[in-house]
Order: sequence, then C-alpha cells, then structure tokens
Amino acid sequence: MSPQETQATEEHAVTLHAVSKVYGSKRGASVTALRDVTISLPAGTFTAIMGPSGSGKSTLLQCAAGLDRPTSGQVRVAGHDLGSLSEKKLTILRRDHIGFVFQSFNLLPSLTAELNVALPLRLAGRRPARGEVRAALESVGLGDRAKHRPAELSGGQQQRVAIARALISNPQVIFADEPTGMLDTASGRQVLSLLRSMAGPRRQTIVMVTHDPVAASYADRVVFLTDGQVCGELHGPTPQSVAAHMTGLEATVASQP
Amino acid sequence: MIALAWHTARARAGSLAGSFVALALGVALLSSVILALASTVGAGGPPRWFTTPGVVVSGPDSVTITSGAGDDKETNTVRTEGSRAVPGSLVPRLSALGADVVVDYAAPAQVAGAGGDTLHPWAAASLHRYTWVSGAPPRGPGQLVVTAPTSLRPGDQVTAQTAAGPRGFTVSGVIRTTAQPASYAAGPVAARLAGGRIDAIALTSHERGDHFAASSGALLARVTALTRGQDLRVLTGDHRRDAEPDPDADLLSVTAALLGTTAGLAGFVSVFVVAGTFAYAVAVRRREFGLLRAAGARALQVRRLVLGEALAVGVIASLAGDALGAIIAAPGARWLASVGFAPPGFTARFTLWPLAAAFGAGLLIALAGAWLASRRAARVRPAEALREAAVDRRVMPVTRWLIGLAALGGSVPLMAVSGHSHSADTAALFLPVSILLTLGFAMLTPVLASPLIRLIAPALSALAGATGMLAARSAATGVRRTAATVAPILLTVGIAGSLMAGVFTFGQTQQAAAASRITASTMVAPGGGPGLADATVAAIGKVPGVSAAVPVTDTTVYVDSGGSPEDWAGQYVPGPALPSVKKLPLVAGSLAALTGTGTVAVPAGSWRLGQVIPVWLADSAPVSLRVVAVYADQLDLDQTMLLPWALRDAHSSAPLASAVYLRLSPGAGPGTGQAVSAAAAAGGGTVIKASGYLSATGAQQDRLNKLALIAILGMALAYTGIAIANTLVMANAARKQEFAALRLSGATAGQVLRMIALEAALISVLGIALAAAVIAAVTGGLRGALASSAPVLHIVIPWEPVILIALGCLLTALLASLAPAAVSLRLQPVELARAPE
Repeated sequence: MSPQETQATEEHAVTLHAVSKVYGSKRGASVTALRDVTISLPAGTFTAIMGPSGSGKSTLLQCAAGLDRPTSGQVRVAGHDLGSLSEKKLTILRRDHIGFVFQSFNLLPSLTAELNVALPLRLAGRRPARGEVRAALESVGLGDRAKHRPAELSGGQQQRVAIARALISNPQVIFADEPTGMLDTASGRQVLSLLRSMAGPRRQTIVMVTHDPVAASYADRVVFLTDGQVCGELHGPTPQSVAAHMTGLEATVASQP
Repeated sequence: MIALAWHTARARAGSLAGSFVALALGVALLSSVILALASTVGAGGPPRWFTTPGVVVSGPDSVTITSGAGDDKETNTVRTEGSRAVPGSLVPRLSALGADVVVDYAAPAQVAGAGGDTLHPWAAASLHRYTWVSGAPPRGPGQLVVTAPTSLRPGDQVTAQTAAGPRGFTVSGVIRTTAQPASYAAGPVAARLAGGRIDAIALTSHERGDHFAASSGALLARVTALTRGQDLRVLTGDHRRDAEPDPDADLLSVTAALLGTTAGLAGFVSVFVVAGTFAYAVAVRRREFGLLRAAGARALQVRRLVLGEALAVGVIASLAGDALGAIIAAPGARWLASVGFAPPGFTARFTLWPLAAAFGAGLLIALAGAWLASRRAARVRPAEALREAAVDRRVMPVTRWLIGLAALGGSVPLMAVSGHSHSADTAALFLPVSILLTLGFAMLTPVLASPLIRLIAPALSALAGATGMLAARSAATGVRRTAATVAPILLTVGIAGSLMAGVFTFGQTQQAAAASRITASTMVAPGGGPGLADATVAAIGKVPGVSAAVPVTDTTVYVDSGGSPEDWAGQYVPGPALPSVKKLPLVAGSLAALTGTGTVAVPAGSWRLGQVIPVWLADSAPVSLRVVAVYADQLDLDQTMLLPWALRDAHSSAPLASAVYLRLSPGAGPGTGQAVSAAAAAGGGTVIKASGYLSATGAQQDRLNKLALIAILGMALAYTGIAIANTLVMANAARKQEFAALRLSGATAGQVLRMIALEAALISVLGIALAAAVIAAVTGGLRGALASSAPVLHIVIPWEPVILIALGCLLTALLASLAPAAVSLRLQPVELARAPE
C-alpha cells in the first residue's frame, strides 16, 4: 500500500466513483438502480442514506459493501478496489474489514448469542480470546444473554447480538440496512445509540440505509437518493430537517410524469 | 377450503414436489408388484398337453378340511403337489361312451439329451398338435419318440432313467409340439414304467365341425354322470390344464411369496416415507400456516387445507405412479424370470384391478400420511407467523412418544414369543420385529439425536473447526430436519441389515443343524434327474464293502393346522435302517417301529407317542398314521415328518430316492468307492461326500436367498434412497436464508459447502448407528430364539452388503445436500437473503 493510499484510506473509508448498477432482464427491459454515483465517506463518520422506495439506496449499500458488484464504476473499501477481488477474496475482505447489520438480523438460529458473535472469528480460523466475545456482548448490553438462542431473544436483543457480531472483528466499516425496521421505538433507539457510539470513540465508519427521519438524525450526515442518483445531503441533521427534505423529494418524484 | 387447497397446492408445487415424488414412486412400486402378483394367479391359461380332447378325467389334487359346525362352519382347501391315480376300472366304462379314449400314463423318465422328465404312451401325442421333425412313431417296446429341441436323431441309442432303473431305447422319431416336452414310448412300456398308475383319461368326441361343441357338452354330461359319487375330477375348457404336470407351479408360489413380501415392504416403506415428507413439508411451512391463522382461518380449515393438498397430490401422484408401474411391471417380471424367481416366460399381464388397488392405496397413504401432519399444522398459532422459528421446539408430540415406545415395547414380547414357538414361526417373526424396532427408533430419533450429536460434536469441532461446530449445532437444533433424514437412512440400513442377518443366520444355522445329524460318510445324489430308482439303490447296496445304503425320498405332506391344511416337509425313510446313517434327537419311541404303511415319526409339540393322526400325502390321499417316534423340534426338523418307506410307491407319481446315504464297512477299500461310483453312474447318480452335498444345497439355497433379498430389498432400497435425497433437497432448499446469513457472517462458499457436507455426514452416521442398534437387537433376539432349537448357532452379520448400503446412503445424503446448496450458493449472498421464501 503506497503512502498515498494509506492517506486516502484514513480519510475515506469508502469511496464510490461513477458507480452504476443496471439490473437487466432477459426480455430486454432493464432497470437502472444506480446512475453514475460518486460519493466518499470519511473514516469515523456516521452516514445515513435516505430516499424514497426504489431510489436505489439498498443497492448503493450493497455495492459499497461488496455484497453486489456494480455494472460500472469503482468501489474502494478500506483501501481495496473491490472490482479487482475474486469472490473468495471479497468474502475474506468482508469478514476482516466490514461488519453488517440487517433489518432481519440474519443470525444463525442454531447458534447461541455467544456463538453467533464469535462466528466471523471462527470462520476466519481464529479462536476468540477469552472474554473477547463476552466483552462484545457486554458492549451491546447483553452480557447475560450469551447462552440464549436467537429464538429466545426479543427483536431488539437479536439486533444487538447482530451488532456485537459486526463488531467482533473490529471492522473499519459497518453497513446497516434498515437496522431498526423490525424494532419498536425504544429498541430502535438503543440500537441507533449503539451505532452512534461506535462512530465516535472507536473511529469506525457507519453507513446506514433508512427511511426513518428520526433514525437518520443520529447520523453526522444524510445523503439523499432519488432515481439512482445523489440529489442532496444534510450535515448535522435533525428529524425535522430530514423530514422536510424527504417531503420535498417525494413531491418532486410525484410531480414527475 | 378445497379450492384454496388446490390453489396452494399449485403455488406450493416446490414443497409438495417431495411428497409427490415419494408417493408416485411408492405407487409405481406397489402397482408393478401387484400387477406381477396378479399374473402369478391363474397364470395357467389354456391347456398345453390336453388341447384336443373335450373332456379329461383325472384324480383329485386337493385337501379340504371342514371345521366347526353351523354358522361357524369353515372349509379350507389347499391344492396338493400331485394328484391321485385314476382307477383302471374306469377305462372300459368310459370307452363304452362312444368317444375316442386315451389313457395317459406319466412315468418318470430322464433321457439324456432330451427335454422333459416324463414318459407317456405314444397315443398321448394325439392329445395335442405336433409336427414331425424326423422319424416315425415307436414301432416296438425298445423305441422312443422325443421332443424338439434336441440333438438326438432317429437311430440314436439312449438310456432313460426310470423308476425301474436305467432302460435302453432307440430313438424312432423327433416331434415338435407346443405341449410340455416329454418322451413317448409304446403304450404297454409307458404303462409298465408308470407302475400302472393312470395319470389321466382323455376323451375326444367323434363328431367334428359344427357339432363338436354340442357333442362335447353331451360327452361331458355323460362322463359326469358316469363318475358321479367317485372322487375324480372331470375337466373341460381351460380347466383341462389342471390335469397337466405343472413344472412352474412350485416356482410360481415362490414368485407369489416373493412378490407378496415385496408388496408388504413396499407398502410399509411408502407409508413411512410419505408420512415423513408430509410432516416435513408442514414443518417447513409453519409460518405460512401461522399467516393463514392470523388472516382468520380456523384450525379446522388449516387442517382441511393440508388434507385437501394431500388429496390433490395423492390423486395426481397415484395416477403418475400407476402409469409408471404399468410400464415397469413387465420388464420387472421378465427380470424375475431371468434370475430364476419365476418360470421362464413369466410376465406381468395388464389388468385393471391391481392399478385400481395401487391407486386406492396411494390415496390412502397420502391421506394417512397427511393426517398427523394436518393435526400439527392446525395447532400452529397465529403468532408463529411473526416468529423466526427455524429452531425446532416441541418436536416430540405425545403421539410420537406413544408410537415410538409402543413399537419398541411391542418388539420385545414378539421376540420372546418367537423363542417359544415353532422355528418356522421364528423365521416369520423377525421381519415384523425388525420393522417394529426400526419404526420405534425412527419415532424416537428427535430424542435420541441430540445427546448422540452432542457426543460427537466436540470431536467434529476439533477436527473441522468452525464448520464442524456449525454442522453439529445445526444438526442438533434442526431436530426435525435431522429426524426426517435419519428416518429413511435408518429404514434402509436397518431393515436391509436385519433382514439379511436374520435370513442368513437362519439358513446357516439350519444347515449346520442338518449337517450335524448325518453320520454317513458318503452319499449318492441324483445327477440332475428327479431321483434314483430302487434298482439303483439296490445295486449300490450290493457293492461289497457297503454295509448300509439308506435311501430317502423327499415329499410334501399336509396336516390339519387349526382347521386348515398346512404343508409340511415329509421324508419317506426305511425307519429301522435310518439310525445307521442319521442321528435324530429322539425324545420318545423308536425309529425301528417306523415300518408298514400306518406309522409316522413327528417333531415334539403337536402330537403324543401312540396317537393316530390324520395326514394327507402329496397325492392328496388321506391316511391315518400312528406316531411311533417323536424327536425334538429342532430348526432343521421343524414341520418335518418321517414316513415309512412302504407308504411311498402307492402315493408317488415318481417313486424315486432323493438321496442315498452310505455306510461303508471297516474293510472297504478304494475298490468299493469305484464300484459304488459305477453303480451310481449307471442309475444317473453321482457320489459325493455327505458334507459336500449339504454345502452344495446350502450354497444354492444361500444364492436364492440372496437373490430374493436383492429382489425384495432392491426396490425398497432404491425407493428409500430417493426418499433420503428428497428430504435433503427439501430441507436444504428451505435453508437459503440460513446460508445467506452464514455468508454474510464471513463464511466463504467453500465453508458453507463443507458445513453442509459435514452435517449430511453426521446425520447419515446417526442413522447408520441407530440401524446398527436395530441389527444388533434383531440378531440378539434371534440368538435367544434359536438357542433352544439348534445344536450349533451360526450368527451371520452381513457386513459387506450392510456397509455398501450404508455407504450408498451416505453418498446419496452428500449429493442431495450439496447439489442444491451449490446451485444456490452461486448467487450473491444478498440475492440469497432476498430470495423469496
């Protein structure tokens, strides 16, 4: 890694350059989910991505996280050009540098909270150090639920286990796709505060897709997307300012022929 | 709800596909077996020998026992091996009726190079159509006509092995006919060689053309009137075939028994597998049922939905299965014939009722299989729609406990009973015992699986790291999936293994018991013909150095077993001479008294010494015999009766010895052996060591047993193999989400596949371990049951086939788990997570 690249990595955890994603169908009709998106996310920041349904926000997150490959353009995460990596290398990069939190938790039902959290480490062939897993669970307030299976936990608790799992490999970037979508208000707030707290002292980069202005207001910066394109951003958002911006966007979308 | 069921059945084609495949194949198996089975009944068709005569008179050939009285009166009839002779006094009276009369004798005769084993009067050739290949009818007592195909030509000198010993003939002609192959000699020669025993009298009306039918009817009426009151059969039409020698009859009953067992096993396996797939499909669709309930469906409606789907699947799958069964029945039947389990030319005729029966059975199996599943589906609460319930809880409903424990519990008294019953019943009992044990273990799999997996888990984690840990965890928590896969593996390996262990142990022990009784050093066995003539036995006995030549003739006898005739093995023996070559475990009486025509020796348990018992002989003749000796009811003597030698000739169409046991005097030298060989060879026999004879017949028996098992098990095994694949494909298709979560947790595609492979292997090993427990229990039970009825015990564990079958299951499980997973892993993890449920 050249000094320049290191510099870039430190400044920008995630960079998308002219990224487009077209979903083609066999009948010739194709859907463009992302159009020429260029965006940089500085390290240690918490960014929320918002937009109406079908605006391409989830696609943006998946391309940025290396879960999906863009049709064109370049994605760099933690100093690596994702386009040049093989499927296996991509998996290892995700395992070592990226954490995920999903709306539907995606915990393994057969494993206890503890084993779910330890899974990325064990899959990497590493035995978790004594107390490492316990510490991760305690950091999300679930130190006493280590032996419980997902089915024995509430939705908020499951999502916190998922966050602990995302944290265990101490990733540089955490991608969260509607992490509060299936949670009640109180659990949602807990989860958002957790994400917020990671961006600050831990210098981790958080990227969250949401459609909830309150959730977005926890971020440092909100990026708005319509029709696969970036159409504005807000720094230091409040629920009100985000809601106002969204209302404006939706009006624009609605007025389009 | 039925309309909705039809709709969901169509939409849910994927998850119902498993049940469909299982059921369709089960019905195909069942319908083809029943089609073949139906073809064994009345396989006779039109006569082959008596084609031209309008009426055939023959002796009776059945045993009828009537028991009870009034409303409880019950009549049971069994067809005997042979028929009684027709009295000669009938010939002049029938001849007076004004029809052509042919008196048919069937003397036992084996002619080297010619087909058939009976010799008939030349007049009998007119009973069927024939054409000359070469030569002419027999002109004198030394001439013989044989049937094509043969390498013999007119003028050839041949030796016929007859009941009167070897006879030299000159071939006078060769005919070709569609009747059974036989030899024809001059009338008096055939009559003499048959010992004057008339096999049948055939009558042909003089009339020809249009009057034929009418005159045949008139002839029948006159013959019937003439024979009224006599124990005779008067046969016309296709019934004429009943008077013919039927070399296929024995084999056909073997075929029927084999197919019957196969049908039974196929039925059991179908119920088991189909119920399993339905139960599993319901478990996979819990969420959907929860949603239905949340949307306002009543429990009963959900239940009807599942049953309605089962009905839809049942109808279509049974139809498909019937179609497939109809296609495979004929080739299957021909295969049976080609390996010797059915007479040559045996085929499955197309008839409607077996297909209807299989269709009905299929529908019944589908509904029965879905019945329990529907109860379970109806218990799903609406809230469960909202829960992510991939971990199985409460997988052991009370019914499962009850069935499992009842099955295991039921096998114990059954095994105990088999120890105290006749040995033949022991053999009949170990199939239900192994089925019960398998069923019990399969039902209790959810309880047994977790502790067993926990036992293996540490080793698996240590060996395979995270993937090993994942495999063990997911097998232990996905109990329902584990149980659904374990069941067919357990079924396949358990039933196959215990059945083979049982049959081979039984066979070997029986052989060993029989061998242990023979004290003769040498014996003479017929070299391919039906037996050895008395003259040959006498010639061997006269050889200097032979102190005893004891002939035995195997036969079949029928006894009254609780109101119905039961066939037992019989052996005509010269009682007083027998102890010098065979040691029987006598408990009362003496074989020295087994003389005359009114005595018998029996195994202990049924009759007392001195009791006079009714017995029907192989020709259906009833006799009353006084028990003069009783021996222990050992495995090789079970349901076997010893009859006095003097009783044989009057009741056998072929009075020949099945074997001759020899005792040599101490001074016998190599010259004795050569002289015995020469005397045996002259009579068509060969000299063998007594032990050699037993192992040769034993080996033949083993080969047949093995083939029978392959035929019975092969189909069931192929079927359960498909069930294993079926369950795993269904199970792993429903796990896309889980695999996605794993990929998102950082597992490479390779790691996911490794986990799936390890899990499949773990589950297979579990199934095989439980099967091993079944095999061990069955063998243990057999050991206990046989200990008292056999002098030596030969426990045979069929390692090789069991290991092969187990490996086959393992391979099937691996392929069936990995193939669909590999396909779904080609997608990106996000797409996996997005994939619709």
